[in-house]
Amino acid sequence: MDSLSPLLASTDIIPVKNVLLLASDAAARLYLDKVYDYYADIIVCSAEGGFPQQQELWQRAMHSVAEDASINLIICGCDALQKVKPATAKILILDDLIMSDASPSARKPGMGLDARKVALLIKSFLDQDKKLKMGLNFRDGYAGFREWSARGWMTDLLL
Amino acid sequence: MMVIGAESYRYSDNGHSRLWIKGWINMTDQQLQAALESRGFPTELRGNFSVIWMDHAGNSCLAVDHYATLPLFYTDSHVGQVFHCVKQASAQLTADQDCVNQMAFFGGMTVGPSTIYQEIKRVEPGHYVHNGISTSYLDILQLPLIAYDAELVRQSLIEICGELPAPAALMLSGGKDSATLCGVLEHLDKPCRYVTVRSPLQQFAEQQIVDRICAHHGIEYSSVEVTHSGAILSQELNERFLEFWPDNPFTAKREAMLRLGLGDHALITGEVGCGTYAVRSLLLYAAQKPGLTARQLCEYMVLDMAFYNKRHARDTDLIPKHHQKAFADLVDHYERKWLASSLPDLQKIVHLNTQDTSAFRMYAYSQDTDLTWHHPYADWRWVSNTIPIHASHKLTHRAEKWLYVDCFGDCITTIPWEYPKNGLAIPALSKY
Repeated sequence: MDSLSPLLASTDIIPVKNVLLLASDAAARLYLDKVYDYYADIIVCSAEGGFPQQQELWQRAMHSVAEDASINLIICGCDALQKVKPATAKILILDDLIMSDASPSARKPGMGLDARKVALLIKSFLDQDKKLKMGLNFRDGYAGFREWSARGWMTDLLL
Repeated sequence: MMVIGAESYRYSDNGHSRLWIKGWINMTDQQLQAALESRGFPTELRGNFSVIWMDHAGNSCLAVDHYATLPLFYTDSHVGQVFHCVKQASAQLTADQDCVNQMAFFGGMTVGPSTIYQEIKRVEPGHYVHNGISTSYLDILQLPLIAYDAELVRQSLIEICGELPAPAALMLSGGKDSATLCGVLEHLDKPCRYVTVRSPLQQFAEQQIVDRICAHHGIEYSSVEVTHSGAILSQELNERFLEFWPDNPFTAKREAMLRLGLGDHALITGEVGCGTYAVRSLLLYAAQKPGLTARQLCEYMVLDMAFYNKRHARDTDLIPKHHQKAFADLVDHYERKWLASSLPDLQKIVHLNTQDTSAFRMYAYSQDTDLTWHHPYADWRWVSNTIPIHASHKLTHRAEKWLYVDCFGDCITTIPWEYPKNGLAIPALSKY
């Protein structure tokens, strides 16, 4: 590993539950630099094989993408799919969202994504498991939901 | 000269707090220090303890166990004033704003000897204070690694649970820690009431998990509705508890036990089990962030705990200016612990804040003047047989808290492992 090796070399205890698949090492490195700090509970995996830097974790992550139907998979750069065909149906593809923001056309406004919003989007997607298994109690009056002052019409969509 | 120890602190019937002397040991302060530092402990002090040693010449030695399960506080000026909670201090007190900020920033948790008053210090977990000088005698980041022996781990918890007094009642949250205790108690055929708490304001429905666990074991349980965690204690207890640490689900558990009339029971919790080990996101961060230093890891950990919601982690702009010093102090604290330990990095990551977190979680229960709480996972026999095992045996890629399945697979259910639940989620009144 190079001088920018991660602190933890042994990774065999880390479970593979959430994977972010990117097409290139450069993209994975960019994600780790710009976005990863906002949400760390995900394995950032480059289809080229450079990230995670520990080969053991990379191989397990790629194996899980190809074989495990229970993992949560986020794809950023669909070129990665040329290297592996996902087994899971729980997939979020970010390409369109990112490209919408990049469009110069004023008639096609995007979401105004930044690093934190991307992380929030990913976190929200990954938290779906919990909501599917345990429900989410808005109707009966989850206190935080009822009393947050910034609540607007959009939250009524949840009722 | 006297030594007072072993579950020493109860309160008198007339409402005035006082130290309740559990036992006396005839030994010198040097003998006491030597016993603590060798981790042999005087026989009378096995288990969870606090010790106050004094002589007529004004010498003193205060000590608490590995998690400060029975906390001690003392004044800077002289250790003649020792308290079980900061509210017991009678002197004119000055607020320590740094500590107050640390608490606000760190989810109500403090580290180090500080308290919210400048004049009062606490005996840190695993420390003794001899004539005002604090010394660490048991830092779990310094414990030498031991070989993993599933049978030894299993027997230690079985022994602890076997010794729990009757009648007993166990709090079931639906999580892995309490479900394991439930399995062990049933395995021992120990008579026990099972209790859970629910709130109409809960974000997620956790009772379904308790339902399934109890159905698996063929046992019945009582479910008590408590709307909020927080101000449901006696006024006196509320003041002592909330002034130093904020409300937490302890108060909901307490309310449930009192409403069920279980005040005379030994109340068992699954506190400070494997849940005080590092979370997956910290391990992933350490494994993936290029060029990460120990200090940056500490920063991440502190922010992650402070904001709880992980999407803000390491966004230091979100720290209010008046909390910046508290943040730096906390990072310093953990960096020092990191640098002082020669354990493998993985072990350090997993247990970097285990001792502080456990002390924080134990505090609320220690302030209860009416109920007697028991925390099997805080017992030294469990701690000494699990913490020094290499982390690779405790956190396997199969699932979190897999140690329980590995050691108690024949007597527990894996139902809690099917849910992404974490902690008892009774909304705290102070937040809404």
